[in-house]
Amino acid sequence: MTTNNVEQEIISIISDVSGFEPEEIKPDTNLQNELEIDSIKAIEITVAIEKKFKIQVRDEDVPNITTLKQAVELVNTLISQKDANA
Amino acid sequence: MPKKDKEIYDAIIIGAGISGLVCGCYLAKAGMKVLIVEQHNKPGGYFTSFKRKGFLFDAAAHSFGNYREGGHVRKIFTEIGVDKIIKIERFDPSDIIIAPDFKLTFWNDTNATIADIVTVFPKEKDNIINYFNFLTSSNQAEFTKLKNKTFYSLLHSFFDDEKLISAFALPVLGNGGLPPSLMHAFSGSKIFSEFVIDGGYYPESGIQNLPNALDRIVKQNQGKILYRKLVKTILVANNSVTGVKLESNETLISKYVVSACDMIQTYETLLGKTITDKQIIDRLRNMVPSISTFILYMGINKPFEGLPPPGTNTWYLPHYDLNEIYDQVQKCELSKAGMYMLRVSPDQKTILAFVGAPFETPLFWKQNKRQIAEDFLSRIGNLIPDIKKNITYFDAATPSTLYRYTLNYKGAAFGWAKMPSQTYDPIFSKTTSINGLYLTGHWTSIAFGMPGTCYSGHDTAKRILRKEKIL
Repeated sequence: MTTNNVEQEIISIISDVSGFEPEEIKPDTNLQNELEIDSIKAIEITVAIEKKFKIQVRDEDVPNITTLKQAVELVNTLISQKDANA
Repeated sequence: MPKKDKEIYDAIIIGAGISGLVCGCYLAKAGMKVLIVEQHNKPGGYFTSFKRKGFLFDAAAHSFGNYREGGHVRKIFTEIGVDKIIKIERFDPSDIIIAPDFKLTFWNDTNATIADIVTVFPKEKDNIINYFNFLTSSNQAEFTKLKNKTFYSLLHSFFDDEKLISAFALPVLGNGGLPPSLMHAFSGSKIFSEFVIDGGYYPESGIQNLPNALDRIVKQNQGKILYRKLVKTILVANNSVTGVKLESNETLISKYVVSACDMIQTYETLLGKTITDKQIIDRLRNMVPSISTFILYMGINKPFEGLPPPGTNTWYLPHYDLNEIYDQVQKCELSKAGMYMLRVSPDQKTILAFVGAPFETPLFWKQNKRQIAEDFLSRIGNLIPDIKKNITYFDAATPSTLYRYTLNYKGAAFGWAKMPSQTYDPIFSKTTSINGLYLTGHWTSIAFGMPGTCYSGHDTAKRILRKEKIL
């Protein structure tokens, strides 16, 4: 999956969970402050990302997902680690 | 011949439970023309009261939480003006847990609660303090880390004493329908913090006054609520909603439709299999609903010896194996399950007691309701011997009754079972793939009860208001 596709998929998940339109979700948009992502929605987004990309987001990664950009970077890293282990 | 003008709304909400009402309040206050359609004759869903033989009973929900300063329910009620219409009181203690070897009391003052629990479990002192600090912290990432853990693993990460773990998990089983081994850690911790630590709130003069206040706010803002009307179909053309059709065959037109019903009803019955994607139906059929409940309603002449304090939720734990209790509940062996919650009403004229129960069939409950109710009463009598001779009115609600009044799939009390495996699926988003169709209520999230339904009603309203560029 290309980086662009990963980003589009994550935008779609964030849009479904937050109710904000995909156009409003920019790489540096702060998920908590600008898209009203609270702990329930953060769980929903993380679980949806895990299912979509068949990856496991570790506890220590959770505080580091504050923007779309960070989410895309993390997912790409986890996918490449998974592929390397496959 | 000119056709009678069809009524046109901005938004039609199906179901006047708390989520539908809260959503309706926000949309109406923003200036949208709102209609709520409810099949029952009153608002509230599981949050209603009824009168029998001069007694006023709360039907299912009997108190709520999360109303502290800064609590989400408090914020929502203040924004829509509920606090200007009714007074909310708080009972102290909110909850008491009676276990075979000890009693735990949950005071409004959390420090007093902690101090009391520490006297029972002195070795767990630091763990108890850490647990309460964790639950009341606002560090969002810590809660997000609970994403696929069970409540048992969370409790076990704090405590060693299995008796304390079971006692803490009891009100979570009662208020959420799952033992700690199956309950999502996030849902379990929110029940504990929002229903118990910040619990015990009650609308003055009865539960019904709260949904009645929401009904009034909708109407004060030019909204309309139709009672005793069942929606038969959600109308869709070119993948956009156009309105709803009632069982009485009236067609009502609207730009938005919000379904506060369960998803099986929304997707299979109201939209139907020609509109709903087969993938959604298959996915829904694999989902597990939460359990239902069996509720006893008792009218008494006057308070008597042995009753717990009025307004307090008193939980009875027969032994410490909650998995065993849950198994018995699922098998409908309610006497063997042994646990229950009992609450004397604030006016001290009625007692409500409940235990989880499986849906079974209407015929099963017709044949067994009386016996199960009497067995239940006898069990209460073991602890409160004077109860039988003081009751002047006695009746029960079964899962069939709950289904009949609320139409929740399988009489489920808490939406989908709040298990880690059912946390979230994007195809069940509150914003559906049909333009203008939104979902709300306890079937749409891992949150439920008053905090969860208020939250989801508000969340769904914000989605629509953003779409309308009002927010």
